[in-house]
Amino acid sequence: MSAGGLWIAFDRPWHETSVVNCPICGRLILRQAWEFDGGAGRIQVCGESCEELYESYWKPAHGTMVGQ
Amino acid sequence: MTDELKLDSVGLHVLHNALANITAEMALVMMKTAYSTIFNEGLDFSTVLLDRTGNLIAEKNYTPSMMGAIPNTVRWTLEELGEEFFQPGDVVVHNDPYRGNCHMPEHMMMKPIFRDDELIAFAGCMGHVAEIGGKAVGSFAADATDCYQEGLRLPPVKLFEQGRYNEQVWRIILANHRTPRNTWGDFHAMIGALTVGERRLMALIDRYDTAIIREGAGSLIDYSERRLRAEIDELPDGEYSAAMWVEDDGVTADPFEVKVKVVIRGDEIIADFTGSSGQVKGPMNAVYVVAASAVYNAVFCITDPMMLIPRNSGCYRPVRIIAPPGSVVNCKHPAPSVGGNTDLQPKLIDLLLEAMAKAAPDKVAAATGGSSSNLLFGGVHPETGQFYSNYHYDGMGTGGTLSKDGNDAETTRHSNCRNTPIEVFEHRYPLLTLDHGLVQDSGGPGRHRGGLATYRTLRVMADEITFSALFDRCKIAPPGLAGGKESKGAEILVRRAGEPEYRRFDQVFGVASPTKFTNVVLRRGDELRYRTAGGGGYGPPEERDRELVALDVLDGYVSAQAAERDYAAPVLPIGGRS
Repeated sequence: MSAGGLWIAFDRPWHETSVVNCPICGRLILRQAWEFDGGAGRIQVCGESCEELYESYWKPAHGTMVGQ
Repeated sequence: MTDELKLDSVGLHVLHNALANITAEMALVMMKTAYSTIFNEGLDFSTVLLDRTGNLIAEKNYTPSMMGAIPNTVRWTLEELGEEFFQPGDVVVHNDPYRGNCHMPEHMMMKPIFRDDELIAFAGCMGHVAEIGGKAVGSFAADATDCYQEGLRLPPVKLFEQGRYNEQVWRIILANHRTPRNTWGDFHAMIGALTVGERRLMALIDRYDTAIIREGAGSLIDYSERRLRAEIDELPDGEYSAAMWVEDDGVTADPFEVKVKVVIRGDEIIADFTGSSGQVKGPMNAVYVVAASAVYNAVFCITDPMMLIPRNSGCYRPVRIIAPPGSVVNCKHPAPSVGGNTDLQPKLIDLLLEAMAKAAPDKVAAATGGSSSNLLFGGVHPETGQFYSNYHYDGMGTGGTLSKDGNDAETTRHSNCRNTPIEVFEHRYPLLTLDHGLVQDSGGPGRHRGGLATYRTLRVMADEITFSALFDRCKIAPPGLAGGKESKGAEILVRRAGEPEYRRFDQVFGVASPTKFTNVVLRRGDELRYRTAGGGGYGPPEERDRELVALDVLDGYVSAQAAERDYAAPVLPIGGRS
């Protein structure tokens, strides 16, 4: 994983009903996200394995993702 | 004093069988004690055991459509609410498609299993609850434009809290389902299955000790991962793409497109749905876990068709899925999604197999009928005075393969369900089955012919019955593969009492779609007739063995006219149903 990657915790109130999807694979992101530098800003994904998927497949196939 | 279980290959085999048999017994409890025909006849449910982090340990997977959902519902509940949410004696229910479920009717129940105050595992059960409210009787609104029309959505909430009924939650659920008595019975069948699963797992742990079971379950997961990776490694590396159009979404008449690229690299597979249409207005959207289930299903068809590898979370690890949020394969709240599970998922499997045909031509099939042909109905039963509701589906044809013809009258590849016997059906519901059989000429021509679709005609035997339907593969027939031809598509027709002919529902009732409609009221003597779709053919029809063509005509599977037209084979004319 990239040296600059880190876990970001979300403080979600119990009454929050919306959910967030990982921009790489589409899975849910609930209480925490893995954040890393995708080459055009920082990207929050569902886990460290998605950073690996981004670097090894997603970026070569679809181009650099613009960070949030 | 515990028995010794050495975790070598023999010991792991013993453990796997023990765990799998627990889930099989759970499934029997479901089947034998549920109130609804969708459970005790249709078997539209799955029973599982999972470890404390949500990894699947063992399953009795009657319905593969739930493969992607079951581990994720538990894992995401743990992630969202924390392990501390679960207490001994709890039973949690969850049907939220945006939090890991397939679609709203599918209800996941999970029961944490504790030993000495330590959470060690979950017993789980997922099943299609036949009535959950919403705008349509049977909770299958083919014209729904948001999830709120599809029924009561439950985030993870407790039905039982430390062994006691959580009456507030039960009251909300029962007040919002049209057939609360069935919900009561079916929920208790599910809870009974979980209780048996807990009891049997505890007995196993008492016999062999917690640490051994935990280590063994982990070893089984690792073993399955190694086995599946080895199978994938045998496939040729490469990128394999396919695309398909789906005829409409139930609300608009516009078709939408799904694209997939399957990347095989070493011992892993990536299924990338980038480029697929955005989520649609009607209920043909899939949620993430539906796309995931389709991918797992197709990968297992290619790598382990005989199911020799223990099905647990290890099988999922080598498979990676890219389902863009907001697309038709991963819709976002509040998009409707009931048909995404039943009718997009089987076509996703067909699409994935078409893509992987280039990598494993001997392991794939042409397209199936590709629709669950969902028929929902309900009303007040004239004999009991009670409100009833039912979710009904019938078999379709599967696609031909490199080595054989497709199967006839089989439910969709992702459901693995059974239809309801006519005797049971007529006993429970005021509908008379006038006929039911195989549709001649419905299998796609090919060297190996597609399997045949089914037809059924029903007469209304009550003052009124409210019907909804979600049929697909009506305008775009299931395609053939490798030179095989498309099959005959599906249709659903109605004949009002006293009228001479059957007509489409849009012609009679003015509904927007002839095959996807909601809450149409038929009255005593009206008849409804439908045909599911056949399977696509495999290989050029002219290469079909002439003797097999002649046998098909003798059996009535293919008409003499179709034999001449599709196979250039003049044969004996034998009559049959068209």
